[in-house]
Amino acid sequence: MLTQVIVSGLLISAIYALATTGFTLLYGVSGILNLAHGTTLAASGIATWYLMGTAQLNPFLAIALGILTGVAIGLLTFVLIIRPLRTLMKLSVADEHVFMLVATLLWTIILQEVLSYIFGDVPVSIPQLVPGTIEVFGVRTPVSSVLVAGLSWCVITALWFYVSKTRSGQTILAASINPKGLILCGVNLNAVHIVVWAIYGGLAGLAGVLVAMILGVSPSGGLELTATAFSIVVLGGLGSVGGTLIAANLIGFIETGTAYFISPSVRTLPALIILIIVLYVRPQGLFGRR
Amino acid sequence: MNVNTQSIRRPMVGLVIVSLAAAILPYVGLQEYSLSILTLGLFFAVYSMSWDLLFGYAGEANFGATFLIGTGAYTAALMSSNGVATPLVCVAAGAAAAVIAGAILAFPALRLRGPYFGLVTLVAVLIMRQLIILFSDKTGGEIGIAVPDVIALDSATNFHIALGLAAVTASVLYFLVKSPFGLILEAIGQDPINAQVLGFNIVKYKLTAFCVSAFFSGLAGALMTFYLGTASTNVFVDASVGVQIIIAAIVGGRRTVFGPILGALFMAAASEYLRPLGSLSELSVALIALIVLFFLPGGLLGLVRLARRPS
Repeated sequence: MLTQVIVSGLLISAIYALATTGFTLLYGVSGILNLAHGTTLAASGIATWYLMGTAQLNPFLAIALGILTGVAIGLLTFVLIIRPLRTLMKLSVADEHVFMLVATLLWTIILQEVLSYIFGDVPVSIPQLVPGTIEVFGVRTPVSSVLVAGLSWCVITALWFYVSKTRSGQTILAASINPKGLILCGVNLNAVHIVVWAIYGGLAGLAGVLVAMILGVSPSGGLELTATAFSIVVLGGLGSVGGTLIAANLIGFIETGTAYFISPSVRTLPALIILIIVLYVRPQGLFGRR
Repeated sequence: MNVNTQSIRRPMVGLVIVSLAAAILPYVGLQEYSLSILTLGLFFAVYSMSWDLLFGYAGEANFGATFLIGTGAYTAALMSSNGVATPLVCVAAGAAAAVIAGAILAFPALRLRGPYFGLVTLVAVLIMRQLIILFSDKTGGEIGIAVPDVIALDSATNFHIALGLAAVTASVLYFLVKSPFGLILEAIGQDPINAQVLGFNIVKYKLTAFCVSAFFSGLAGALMTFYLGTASTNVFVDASVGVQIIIAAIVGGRRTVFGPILGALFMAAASEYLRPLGSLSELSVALIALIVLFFLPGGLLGLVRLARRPS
């Protein structure tokens, strides 16, 4: 029983970690909390489900197109919502964050309604890519779940490598630390933002496909996914990628433990309560900077 | 409080005239069906005005409006269905419970800066919803609790209750925002650091605003429970209801007190007339709100002001 919780906890945490790194990255670089995050995940998952099921495409092609859907939505969010909000309205810093939250919330509703208009508001899940189960520490686990967890960690490692070791990644890091200095160095900040949103969309797209594979997604479930992502990011400390990874595992284990030992119906409750307590005691999150 | 009485006299007279004119609507042949839509629109107007006190003036996006409304509604419904008290006592208890719950939620949350406040309030709604579903033997879960008592059966009386509530809320909030308290609150919303430097206790002002907002939200929630005869999560404790309240405030006009009334009535009418569009109706409403947010930050009321003062 305990090993079972640990194994499923590890698997779910890996997906959570992947699903929230994009969110953290975006906050770190642009200072934007994208409330449409969960709906972006849902859109990619649903697109893949449609292409794979109804359109009968090759599964890998369908997944690739699903990830592209995420990239497209990420870029659309930036071009249609974020950039107009910053250029059209001359907002003070205090006003900007509330307007950003409200605008991305409205964008969430728009995405959600378009999705449910086209595909219907029903939960969908993508079939497992690889059949069969293997024993992990004596627990029977679907092979594709293990693959999904492995893939998540590979992508996170690749992202870390990109940001810390490549020139383009360093530019993004610089944009998060001192955007004005970056402009003085002759870098086109707008181009940096487009790259960040594209990376964000790709991460969200992949995460959406994986979430749809393991948990299932629905158009109206997007907001709840955002809340989970939000909780993880805040628990770890906004903008701290390391903190996010640790928090993703914490939340993943707490949720799995709750589902096993108490009842699946209260799965998300303890994590939300812990989040509130952490915010009250340590508002900057477990590993955040003030 | 010394309020500049000259500046608030005209809007107040206008409010009284409009309210009195609206009060005779049931007697000049308005159909019961339209009346019921207007009644719900007026309750919605109270939610929206209360929400805008925080968003427009205190500069905080409260995603937990339905946490306050739900507390009021469920307190009243639970008391009434268990036969504890008469409807009016239940309503008063609902409003009080909303203020207490709001203070417990807001006092620690308001110390948090930036987006954290919004997050905590959003999470509060999700937790409350889960708790209601978890204790479904007491709360009726997603189906809701039926309320045995009614305040009034007659649709005209119910309309007058909603109208009176909206008018009282509008006057109290208008008086409040024009008072020194409201001006300081607005200053805090626009530049918290400078306001703090001037020696104002930001948390105290925001907390007071939050409690006022909670009071009217809870009161309206409790009254609406008796009007609908039931309290259920999809009406009172739902993030998407919170979104509608936000849309109403933005479309009507942020930081105007009266604007959200227009916005709420617009939303009530839109959900009726756009019904043939099916699931696209919510989409079009969200789209309208987004366009208003970008191009008309003052909302519908802002448009009226622009037309009056051509510059």
